Amino acid sequence: MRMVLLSFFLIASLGCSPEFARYNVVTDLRILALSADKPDVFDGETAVFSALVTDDNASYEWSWCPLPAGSADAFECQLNDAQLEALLAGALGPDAFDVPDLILGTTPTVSFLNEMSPEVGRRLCDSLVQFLPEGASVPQCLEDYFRYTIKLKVTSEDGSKTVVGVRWLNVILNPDVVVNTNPEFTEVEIGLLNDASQNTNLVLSDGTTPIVRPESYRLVANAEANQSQEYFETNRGAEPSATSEDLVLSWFSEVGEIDRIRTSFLEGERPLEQLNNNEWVLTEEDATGSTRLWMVMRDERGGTSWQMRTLMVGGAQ
Amino acid sequence: MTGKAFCLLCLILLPWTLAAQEQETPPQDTSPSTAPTDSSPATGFVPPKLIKDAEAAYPDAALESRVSATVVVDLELDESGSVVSSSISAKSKQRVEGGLIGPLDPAMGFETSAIVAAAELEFSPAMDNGVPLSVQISYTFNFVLPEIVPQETERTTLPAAPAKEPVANFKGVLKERGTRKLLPGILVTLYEGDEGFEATTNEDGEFVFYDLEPNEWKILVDSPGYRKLLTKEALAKNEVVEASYYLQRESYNEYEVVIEGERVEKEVNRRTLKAADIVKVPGTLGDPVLVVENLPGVARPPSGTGALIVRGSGPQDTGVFINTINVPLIYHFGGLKSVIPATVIDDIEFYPGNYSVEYGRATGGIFNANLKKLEPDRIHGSFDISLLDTALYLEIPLGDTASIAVAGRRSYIDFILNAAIPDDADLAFDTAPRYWDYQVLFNWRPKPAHDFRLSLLGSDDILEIILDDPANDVGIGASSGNISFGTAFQRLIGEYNYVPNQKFNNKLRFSVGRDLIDASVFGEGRLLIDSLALQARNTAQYRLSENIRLALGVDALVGVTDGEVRFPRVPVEGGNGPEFTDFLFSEFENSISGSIAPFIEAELNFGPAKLVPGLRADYFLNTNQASVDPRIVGRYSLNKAWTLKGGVGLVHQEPTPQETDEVFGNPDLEIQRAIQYSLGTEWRPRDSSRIDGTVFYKDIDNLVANSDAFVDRDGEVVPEVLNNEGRGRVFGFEFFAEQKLTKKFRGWISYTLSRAERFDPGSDVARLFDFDQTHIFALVGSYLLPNNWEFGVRWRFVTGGLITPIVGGTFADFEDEFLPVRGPVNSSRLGPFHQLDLRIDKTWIYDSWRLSAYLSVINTYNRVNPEGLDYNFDFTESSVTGGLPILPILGIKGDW
Repeated sequence: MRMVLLSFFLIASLGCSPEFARYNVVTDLRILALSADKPDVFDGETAVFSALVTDDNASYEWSWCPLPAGSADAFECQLNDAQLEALLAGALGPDAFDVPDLILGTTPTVSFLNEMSPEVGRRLCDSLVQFLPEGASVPQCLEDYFRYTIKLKVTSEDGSKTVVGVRWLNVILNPDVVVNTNPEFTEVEIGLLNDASQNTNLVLSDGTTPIVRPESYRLVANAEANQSQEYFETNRGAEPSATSEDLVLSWFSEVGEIDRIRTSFLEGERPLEQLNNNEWVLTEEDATGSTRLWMVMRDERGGTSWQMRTLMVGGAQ
Repeated sequence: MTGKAFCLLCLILLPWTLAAQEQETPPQDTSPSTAPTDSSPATGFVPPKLIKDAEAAYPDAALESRVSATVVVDLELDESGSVVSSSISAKSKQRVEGGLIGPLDPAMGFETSAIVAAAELEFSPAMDNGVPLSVQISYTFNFVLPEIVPQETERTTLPAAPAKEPVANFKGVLKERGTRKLLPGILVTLYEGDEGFEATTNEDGEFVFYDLEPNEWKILVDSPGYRKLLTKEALAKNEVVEASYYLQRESYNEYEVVIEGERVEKEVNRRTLKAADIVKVPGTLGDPVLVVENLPGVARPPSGTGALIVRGSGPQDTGVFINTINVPLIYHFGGLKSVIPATVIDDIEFYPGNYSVEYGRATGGIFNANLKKLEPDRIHGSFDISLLDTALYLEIPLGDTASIAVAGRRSYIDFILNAAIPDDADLAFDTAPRYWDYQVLFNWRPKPAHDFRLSLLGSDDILEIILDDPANDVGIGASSGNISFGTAFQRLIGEYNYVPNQKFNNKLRFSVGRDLIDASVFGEGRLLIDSLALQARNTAQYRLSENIRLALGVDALVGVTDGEVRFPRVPVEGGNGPEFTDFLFSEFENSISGSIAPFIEAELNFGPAKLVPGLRADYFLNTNQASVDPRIVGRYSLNKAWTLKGGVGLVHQEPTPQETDEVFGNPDLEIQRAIQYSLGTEWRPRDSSRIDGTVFYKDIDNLVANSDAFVDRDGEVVPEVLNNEGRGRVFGFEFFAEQKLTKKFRGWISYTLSRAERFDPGSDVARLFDFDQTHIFALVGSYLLPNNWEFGVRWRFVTGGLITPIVGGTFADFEDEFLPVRGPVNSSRLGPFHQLDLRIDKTWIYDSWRLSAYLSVINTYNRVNPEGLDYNFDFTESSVTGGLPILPILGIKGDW
């Protein structure tokens, strides 16, 4: 009954949102993406994390956690360093592997060395729950992965705003698994929406792009279909099934309105053109001067990459 | 008193004042009245009472002329109750034996006789708050002839014995205008000049006159409850005239023709509502089931859910039945309409608690809709066309002992939405919200002792939406743009009622059916549940003596379910929403649920006291557990008007199949238990009014609750997910004041004051139940206006719903969105709900059918009723989500 009601609520809530600022209009400090150069890591590999943060002067605090609470509790880590050490020693025996400090660093980019072998990871999954403190959430032991949560807290320079973001790091337990890689795209071109020639290379000789308002523009990315990897989808309780990644591009701007917050590509369902194309409308009310566009590509499995363009917006010619 | 408060009070009191006036105004042409009446309903006013009667002598002249009369005398009484003056009212009339009715003929002497008698009457003084008053009243003397013309139901009553073989040269049939019902036992008067004859219609509504002379005859039919019919027929020599006449009811208010059955009450609170009584309740769109939400003990469900939340129990805890057979749902999508239309329902029964052992498997309340009992009298049908849907009904007699009825309904919201959404929109409906249902009823009663019924019911809802780019419209996790949601069920119900004598009866019911849920959400969530539902009930009742009745029965329900579910875990009541980042999969076949339950119940009557003890034993198939539920209800009549009542009973309910699924729940869950207590009193100052107050308490334990613990299951340590360590308690007071129809008004006031609490596992601190609502008030009334206009009003006030506030958000890269951070469960309340719904109906009566048009206005003053909070993308801003705005709905209905 609850699932039935919930499904119905999901449907009923479509298109009923009140007028709030759009998700893809950036006006202050935001984390737009968190990436790992390796979304999946084997024993002995290092993942490097970085963030797409809209305030260049923000301060960073990175942490990791093998036993986070749920989203309702802001993914708070349920253990401190000492408790984690004691828990792992109890579950795996002393010195099973070196446990990094929960705090990873305070720089824009941090790294994480995975020293947990698949064998240790399996033992951890099998035995850890017995040692969990009362009320702790279930560790994310999947078929092929042990999943850590990586958290970033950024604070604006004046301390007035803090934003917290999380992502996963998949520690591989199955050596045969095909690792995920970040989907790549290299550029986003801009052209006038109503230009019959479909020119999307609006770049002046000095390298700047002549953007004016009011005007409507085409935004064109250059992601390729081969960035969508094939993989075996595993749901708890179900047999794995071969499938392709769904590529999603998220589009952000500081001024104007980008038509679609996200565009996507899925083999056989939605064409690549749908992923790569968007529209950006600037009105008289939009500010002139330097402005930024961000495009973030994700593959649904933790793969993330992004592009940013800085543009000058001028008044009507 | 402020202006607003005063207006509110007027609104509340107006229908009751009107009703009181209506009820206490004497009928114009009623049977003999021996007591004076008054028209003042004011509080504190005591009308004069007759303390000395006087008999008016029958005037000789009138006796000789065979004239009867009803003489209304207007009396003026002084402060002592003595008659100080009297006069004859123009309402008085006389009747010549043979049918002529007219004003009083002074020559008959009725006025003199009445005035003389009136002077001898004595009354107690009228009092207003203890102060004697001088008042004017009406008093009626009925002069009835010593020899009364018998109103036989035989073929005819001849005016005089014919000298020769009589010739029937004027035949006719009387029918009710608009419905074509045959009217038996009605006097038809035929006259011309001083000559007049009478005949009474037989059971087929037919009348016959014999040997009438060729002439233009006047025909008069003047029967209580119908408008007077006066027409002419010309008879030629050697000619036989056959005529059909249609009598128009004085009122086509459905209330007049439907009287609640005088069934023996053996529960503490049973609310029985006749379908015809309630289809015009404003705000319910003519749906009889929706009216239940206006009864005590029933919380207002969140807008658009159609859930039944009874005395602090969850929607799944209230049993829903049609003809005592379980059905999986009672509402179509969004709760706007029930799955069964008013045309096929006789009545609905609702028990908020302490129900009979005949019912079980529910710790909340019981809702049962009784299907219509067909009468093989005539072909008739109806249609109902509104902006939402169209419903059709056709009933056909099959001989004298059987009838069949076919009904169907389909919504056309899908057509409207598809027409309204542009072709190039991002959102398209493959199948926009659409529901339909059908019913086939068959009754066969070959002999009075044997009653067979077969019913086939079905309901189907579907919604399919295609989004152009789900990632844009929904989020990164949506791999598909398709959303579909469908529910359906069918039931074939067979019944055999055997009533060989007054002492014994047996009711056998069985059903076979299928329930289907098929939902797919953005290629991520999948819900496919296919169940076979088998149920059999048999109840045998035997009256051991005048005071003792015994019922013995068995209620067996078996559900066999196959399913495929891919969804996040959905916490039970009190939990936060599901984690849409963690989808689980479960597939199951032949999952068994239900129970087999023998029961026994006695009804013991000892003078003013009634005791109904019962025992029900369930063996639950899902959990392989047995339960024994003793229950008892008592009623004690203090006098004709006052009754004390109370009950205590144990009820058990098995966890749902989802809750015992090893992936989504805990297969080791046990049955849940509740003890229901209630104590109340009932005051029936008159047959048409009832005021009822009940205090209730419910103690729930072994309640299925969310768990963070881990358990060893089959040697593997796994999350427990759910356990039976929850507890709950619900207590409150219910008030119900009902004014049934006088001639023009019906309505009720319902109020519930309650508190529903839960104790989560390991906690001794109570928290509020998800649907806790402190105050639930409803005022419902309908008033019949002249010329078949009818006006209805409903006003509701309900404490705002509980919410778990969102106190922040965390950006989740894997979702490309912020996920909510929640505060304490149910720690905040929305603003109150109040809403005024109006409805106006106009009916046109034609000879063989009726046509009605109605306008129903929901949320008349366009109140933005808070249904929830909407947040911006990072949960730093919020705004209240309103329910339905003002919504006028037009419709037409016809029946023939």
